[in-house]
Amino acid sequence: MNKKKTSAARKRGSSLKRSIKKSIAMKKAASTKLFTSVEFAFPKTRQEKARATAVELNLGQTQSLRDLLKSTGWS
Amino acid sequence: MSRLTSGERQQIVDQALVLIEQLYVHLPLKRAMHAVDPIQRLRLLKHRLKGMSERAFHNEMISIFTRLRDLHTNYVLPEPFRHLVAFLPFRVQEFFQGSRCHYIVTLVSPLVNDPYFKPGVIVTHWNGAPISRVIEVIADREAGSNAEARHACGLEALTIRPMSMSMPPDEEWVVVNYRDGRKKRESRFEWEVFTPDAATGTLDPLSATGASAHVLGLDAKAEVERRVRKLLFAPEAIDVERTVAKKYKQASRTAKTLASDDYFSTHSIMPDVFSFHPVDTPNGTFAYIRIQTFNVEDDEGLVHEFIRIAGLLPQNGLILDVRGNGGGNILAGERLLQVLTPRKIDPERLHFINTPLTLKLCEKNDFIGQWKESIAQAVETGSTFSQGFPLLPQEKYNDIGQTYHGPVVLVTDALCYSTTDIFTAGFQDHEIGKILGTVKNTGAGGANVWDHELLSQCLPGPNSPFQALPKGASFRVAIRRTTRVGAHSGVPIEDLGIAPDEIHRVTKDDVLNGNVDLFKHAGKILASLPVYSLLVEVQKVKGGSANVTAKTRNIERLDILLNERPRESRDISSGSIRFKLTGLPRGAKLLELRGFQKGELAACKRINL
Repeated sequence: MNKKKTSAARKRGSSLKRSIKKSIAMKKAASTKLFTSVEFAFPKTRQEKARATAVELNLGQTQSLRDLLKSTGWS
Repeated sequence: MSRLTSGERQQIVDQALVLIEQLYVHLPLKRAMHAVDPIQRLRLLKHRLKGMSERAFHNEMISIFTRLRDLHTNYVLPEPFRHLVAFLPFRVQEFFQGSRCHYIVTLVSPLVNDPYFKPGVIVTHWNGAPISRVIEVIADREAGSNAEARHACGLEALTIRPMSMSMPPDEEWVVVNYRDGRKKRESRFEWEVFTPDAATGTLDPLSATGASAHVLGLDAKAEVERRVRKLLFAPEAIDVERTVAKKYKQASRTAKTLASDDYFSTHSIMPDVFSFHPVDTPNGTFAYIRIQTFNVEDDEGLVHEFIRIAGLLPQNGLILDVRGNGGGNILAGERLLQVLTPRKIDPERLHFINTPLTLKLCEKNDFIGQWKESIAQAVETGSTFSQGFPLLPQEKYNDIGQTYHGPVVLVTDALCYSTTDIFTAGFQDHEIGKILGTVKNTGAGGANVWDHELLSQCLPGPNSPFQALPKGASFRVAIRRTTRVGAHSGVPIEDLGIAPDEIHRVTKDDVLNGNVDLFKHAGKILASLPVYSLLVEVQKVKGGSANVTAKTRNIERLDILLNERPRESRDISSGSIRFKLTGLPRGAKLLELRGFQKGELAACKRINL
């Protein structure tokens, strides 16, 4: 009887472990997704901030290499 | 944005052919040393122009020029690229732990958002590739003339690319993996582009004008990179530049009156050129002067400012640091040598390549007229190069004489180029002191460089071989090669460079804590060298006489010369001597005291009476 209980408990335990693992993985995925969405949702704000700092640093107006290459037909 | 027409591209290639085939002084050397054939590549490019994209055309032009492995000889892209620089907002430098090289972030701009990405983090990967491999690949695209120079250029190009002469980065952003202590992290950075301003008092590295334009020896790209680093990471240095400019403006003061201002006991009146301070080492306190550039219009001003700041510092030894100095005005570099040695300076010789076009240039322009005869003789002699002459008569390199009498250690690296190579070669050839290199060679640029505009001015007119280039495109070309003097007489600097006496591998403490280990090493060398001193006071008295007091150290004999003629010789038993010079002739202008130790000239002082 005891042995059966232990076996059932073991089964329950490993199922619990699996579900915890799954939940961690889901949370991780969600946080990555959230982070990724922040990266892509507000890139301009971050870039604008960086550009304002560039002006303060006497660098003048900066632009991304991507924009420059597009405007010159190089990309 | 307007693109180059097919005709304009052809015009650019034709002008490149004129420069490389008929003027480029290192062509025989580069063909031998690097097995390149730029002329055939240019002809092929001309043949295949049709259907080529704008980017492919510029890439091929840049590649032809960088494969010459010559930082002097460049294709300068037209607008808008001519003045643009692509950058990442941090700097990576290398340091050694034993024989292992690591790459460390040393400067971070406020533009960086990642709070963990700060000076001291170790870069391991770049876009997924090991950082050392990435630097190797970038270095191969750079023009450095030896392995050390290419590696150093590659490391600089990792985060800064002047688009006037470099291919733009292939990637629009980079993903950097780094170690912050034991933690491994990753950050992403976008390449940004901007137009840097120019420092006051310096020459435009891409198109210098004025009297100094034909005496330049400069790695233009290094000069642009230096400016960008200053703007990105050293706003306080920009503030100093502005303060000095303001002080100049106030009551329109000159350099001489300005120097009496207290501010200039700790700052140079040429803040873009010099920085200085005393340094403490376990072997004593020594003077430290960094020369960031020789790129100035006023070579005499640079020499006098050096004399002033060296006078403010300890006289028992000088650490003279020219690392990262891409050169500039050759006269500034060569004329500076005299203040560090009692020996007469024999300047380097400059040679043209013998071609009908260099002959024509010398025939039509008086300032290079002395080269004409030997180029014309080449028809009979078959010589590849002309006879060599210095830029100025020899007296101009010896018109001030020695002012610093302590021992000197010169610190070099692989980014020392052109005028700095010439300065370093002169330092070694005149046995001024020891050279401490962070690598086993300098950048190895031995030439005088002219740009296309200057060439057009030298041979103007509709029949000139130099035709206007479209949309601000240009070229720079090594036109006169330099050869060494003294024990290395006749040896070219190009590609060979100058080997240091000792090597100091840069440590982590050096890059993060102000060169502490480097100073320790330099201090040890200085402490092993003899210190000489020769302080002279002259008081003119009536009747054509003068009282002379000389305080000396490690000097046994003084020879006294008047107007460069021997007058008398005196032995010195104690450290000082007083004597009267009588019967001074009218017109006695120059008094020179030469101090000897064991029969060897050890110190010299010139006084204008």
